[in-house]
Order: sequence, then C-alpha cells, then structure tokens
Amino acid sequence: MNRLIEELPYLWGGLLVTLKVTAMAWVIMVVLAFLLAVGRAYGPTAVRWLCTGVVETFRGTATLVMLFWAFYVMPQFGVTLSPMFTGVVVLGVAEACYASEIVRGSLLSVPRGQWEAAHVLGLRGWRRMVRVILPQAVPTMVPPFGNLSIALLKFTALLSFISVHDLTGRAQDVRYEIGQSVLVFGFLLVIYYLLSSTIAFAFRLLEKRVMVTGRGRADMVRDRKRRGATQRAGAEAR
Amino acid sequence: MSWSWSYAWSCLPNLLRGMLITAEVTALGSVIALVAGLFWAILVLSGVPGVAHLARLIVDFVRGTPLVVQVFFFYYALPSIGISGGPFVIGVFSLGLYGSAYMAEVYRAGIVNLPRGQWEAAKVLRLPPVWQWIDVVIPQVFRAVLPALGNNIVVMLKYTPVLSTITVTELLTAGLDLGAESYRYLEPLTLAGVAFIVITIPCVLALRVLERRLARGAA
Repeated sequence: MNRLIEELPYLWGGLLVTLKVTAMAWVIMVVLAFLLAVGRAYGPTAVRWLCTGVVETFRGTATLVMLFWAFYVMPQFGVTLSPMFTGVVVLGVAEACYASEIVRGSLLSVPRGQWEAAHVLGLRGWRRMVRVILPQAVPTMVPPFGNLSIALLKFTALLSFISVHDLTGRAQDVRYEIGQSVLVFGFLLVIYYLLSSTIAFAFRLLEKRVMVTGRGRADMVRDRKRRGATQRAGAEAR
Repeated sequence: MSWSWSYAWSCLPNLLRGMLITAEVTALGSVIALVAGLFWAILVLSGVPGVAHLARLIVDFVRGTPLVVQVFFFYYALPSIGISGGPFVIGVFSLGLYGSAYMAEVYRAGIVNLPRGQWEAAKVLRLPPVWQWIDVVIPQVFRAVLPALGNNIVVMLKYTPVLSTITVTELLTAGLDLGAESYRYLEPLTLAGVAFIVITIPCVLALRVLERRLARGAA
C-alpha cells in the first residue's frame, strides 16, 4: 500500500495522458460524426455510399484489431506516425462511426414540417441547418453522447498495447515495480470508475440545460409525466 | 509492400483456429452474460434496501471501467482466491461479467416497460411472487428485448480481441503471432479485421429482421 502511494505521482502523469488522449479523440469523434451523418443523410449518392462504407466497416470490426492494424501495417506502407497520434486517430474515427448513427437518427427525427417552415422563412442550406434543425436535434443526442464519451475513455486503456504510456500503461509499469497486481489493478479500476462517473454526471447536467433551453415547455411537462410513469412501473415491479 | 495471396492463403488455418476460439469465448461469455444480467436486473428492481443498491453499484462499476483493466484484475485476483482455470476461463468469466452489466440494463428497461396490467393479472391469479416472475414477466420481457440482447452479444464478440492481452489465442492473437513470425502484418491483420466484419454484418442484419418481425408480433 505504501509503495503504491509512493508511485502516485507517476500514475498522475499517466492520468494526464489518458485525459489528453480522451479529449483529442473526443474532438475527432464529434466533428467527424456530424460530417458522416450529414453526408449519409443528405449527401449526393456517391458521398452517401462512401460514408455508409466507412461507418459500416468501422462498426463491423473490432476496435483493437483496427488499432493494431494501424500500428503494424501502416509503417509497412511507409506511413510512420507516433503511437499516441495513431491511437487518437483510430479511436476518434471508430467512435465517430458509432456516434454518426446517433447524429443521423436525431437529424432525421426532426419533423419535415420544420424543414419546410424554415424554407418558407427564407432560410436555406447551412443557415437552416444551424438555426432550425440542429437546435431541435442536439438535445436528443446528449444522453447517448454521454455513453459514447465514457466508451471512448474506456477504449483509451487499449492504447497501452501500442506503447502509449497512459494510466493503464503506467499502472503496468508500477505492477512490475512493486508486484501486488490485485491492489494496483483494483486501484486502477476505482480511478476509471471515478472518471466515467464524472463524465456521466457532466452529461446529466448538460442534458438538463439543453432540455430547458432547447425544447418547449409542453415537451418538458410531457417528459416529466413519462418519467413518472416509468418510475411507477418500476415501483410495480417490486 | 503489396498484398500476397499465397501468404494470405497460408495464414488461413491459424486464423480459422483463432476464429473458433473467438466463437467459443463469445458463446460461453454470452451465456454467463444473459443469465447474470437477468440476475442483476431482478436484484436492482427488487427494492430490497442494500441488495438493490449493491447490485446497482456493481452494474455501474462494471460499465464504468475498461474491460482490459477488469481482465487484468481478474487474471491476478481470481487465482489469489483459489480459482485458477487459465487464461481461457478467466477470459470467459471477465467477458461474461462485462456483458452482464449491459444485459442488465436491457432487461431492466424491458421489465420496467412491461404493462402494469400484466403484474396485476399475475397478482389477481394469486401466483406467488417467484412464479409471477417465471411464468408472466420473464417470458414476455425476454421476447421484447431479444434484439437488444442479440446486439449486446455482437458487441461482446467485438470485445474478444481484448482477451489477447492475457494470451487467449483468439483471432487477433492468431493474426499477431503470424505477423511476428514473418514480419508481414498486412495479410493476417487485414484478414482478422475482415473476419469480424464477415461475422458481425450478417448477425446485425438478422437481428434487424428479427426486430421487425417481433414488432409485427409475428415471431
């Protein structure tokens, strides 16, 4: 236990790497998710096929296989990137493919009438998208994006296998140093749990905010009623 | 560096062996996940103070931490409490536990969304609580959430490469070993990746059909 405490500064450095990697991959995920979703939902046929191909390929295969592929195969083609950069890009792109399905679903769930109304008001193209459609679509994306962000955090633990010294990588170093594997990995589990709980908490706050500003009062009242019904059903199940 | 079909061909036997292990791990892991998930969901909804909270905490904890770290933890923790079955057993156990937390959420949603009339009917028939669950609730819930459970199994399949870290010789390990022998990673790793797509896409399509049929009440 004392030796683990001595190693805490070293693990803290790993935590910073984990947070940095998660943040960078998160940005890639969000930006690319919107591009892929818009391309797949509204693009011309060629773009639509391309986006569908990328999304289904990444969703169909295992992320760890993708990661090793990028790490071992790309250098054989003369493309050598740092392990951290490789990892961030692969995780960001892979999660973006899952996220794009959520974005696409939310965009398509905005009623057609809203498009027509915006059109009649003289809003076209990006202005219509940004002013009318997105404000209605984004609130429904928030809860699933919370889950994806946690998934992303958890996936960064895989980067230790392509020699990135993130939290998991450094914990392995500590284990070699002091033994006591169960203690080290148990501690690591608790740290990850605290991190993902923090993300979940942040997204719940965000959810409340966007619900208030982004949707009508009538919707809120209806939601509250529906939640009440779910709780009653839960109580009934006891 | 270009694709060599003859080398790719020579990789196939080992990759197929890896695929078999992947299938075994997924199958056994999903059985654990399906059973344990229902167990967690019932405990969470039981409302028994303490028990329900503990189950909730376990499910949240398993969902909130990376599978890799859980695998490492159990790889060292299980033998120290006297359970030592080698990497395969520990891999199946970890994957099963990880999947069970996700299955629990699916079951929970299914149970909560069951019309309350079903509970009332079961009570009116004076079924004892255990039989309310076994005869009335679980069969209906299971049918309703079947596609979601299937999706989780597909997700678990895609997590099996994580077990390569404790030397379970599944598909990714097989690919990496082949690559390490010949210093050619292109063919084995590409084939391993494609193998996952070849398995998952038909599964996902089949699940979509199942979902549509269940929605129509035909299946």
